[in-house]
Amino acid sequence: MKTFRIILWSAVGLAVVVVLALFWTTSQQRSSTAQTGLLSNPIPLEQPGDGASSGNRPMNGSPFSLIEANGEPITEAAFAGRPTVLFFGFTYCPEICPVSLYMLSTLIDDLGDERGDLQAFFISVDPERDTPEVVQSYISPFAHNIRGITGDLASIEALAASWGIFVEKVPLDDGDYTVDHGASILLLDRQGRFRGAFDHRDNPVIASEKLKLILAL
Amino acid sequence: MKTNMTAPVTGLTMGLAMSLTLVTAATAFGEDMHQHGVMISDAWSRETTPGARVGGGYLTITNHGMKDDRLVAVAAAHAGKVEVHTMTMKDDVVVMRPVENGLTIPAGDAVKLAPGGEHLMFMKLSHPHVADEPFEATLSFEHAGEKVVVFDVLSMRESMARMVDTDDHHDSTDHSKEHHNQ
Ligand SMILES: [Cu+2]
Repeated sequence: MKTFRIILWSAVGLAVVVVLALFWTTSQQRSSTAQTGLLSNPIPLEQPGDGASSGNRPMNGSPFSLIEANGEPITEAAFAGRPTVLFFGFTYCPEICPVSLYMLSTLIDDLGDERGDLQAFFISVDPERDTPEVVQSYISPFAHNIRGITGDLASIEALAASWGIFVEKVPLDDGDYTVDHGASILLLDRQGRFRGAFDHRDNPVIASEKLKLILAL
Repeated sequence: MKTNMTAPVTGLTMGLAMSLTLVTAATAFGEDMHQHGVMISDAWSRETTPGARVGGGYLTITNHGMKDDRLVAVAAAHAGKVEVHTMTMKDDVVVMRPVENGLTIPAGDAVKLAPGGEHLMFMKLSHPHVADEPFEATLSFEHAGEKVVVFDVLSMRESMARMVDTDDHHDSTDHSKEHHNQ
């Protein structure tokens, strides 16, 4: 019985040490990542597997020529010179897209004066159904923070792919279709380079800190 | 309901007691028991933005009956089409699919449609979901028949709070993204 107790307590002790060590390593990694993010090296703000999947995401997206939801043409030039947030989604999305847009818009509202010249875009992955008018009305509650982009499917798919955002149109049995799409919210610095990501599942406090990091770059 | 294998006597007693209760209930209510085997609770939706083509609906369906049931159809006056959908996240990719051949509600069990997982998808909306304006939908079950259900409509803000309650959110120390639904 005594031996058993010794073994039990040793196991408990070992578990505590392991947990503490893991915790310490994680917090070290986190603070060092944050530090790197504040320097102007083009290094993503996070580790692969941290929050929204940002591992192996390309540093730069490809040039594009699309239509803004207000009907005006828009190109990659719109991303230059300002910290920029990109989110890909579509209006046939009942949960992730509205929740992500709401989260992003609320985070931007909460920045207040710190918001600076931050800009954000919702890019439709279903441009065949999401005309500029539809996109504009979809984002209307968030229009003070988020602008919409649509255009032709091939160009959108190319743009999404260039940022490592998965987009696939999937036919359904009833002749309808859906679009599987990456839901990461991408954070670009003033040079249009990828610096981090979060998604709707992330803690809003952490997401907000990430937004502030691209503002500080 | 599973019998505890390590306590056969207790399990047996409980099982007997339950069977007795069920037999009594079935005798007392007869056909009634059968009809009301399925119960709906906690039905809600979130407000939709003006351009939204679709809205999500969430609810808990409990089958108090003695045989499995199936939700085979849903209809709502403001939606041209309503389907049951699954939603999963594969890494950061949202995958949404219709559930084919109805949603099974096992006997003695409850199925919860909640953010981060299965939902009712209200499509071809003729009217948006407006916060604090509840709407009705008719759910058709294979055995329990039709049930008219009132869905509360929550504002975006309220729905976010509800999602935190159902543990849809996580902090970024949680890497097990694929297991959000439970
Ligand atoms: Cu759906």
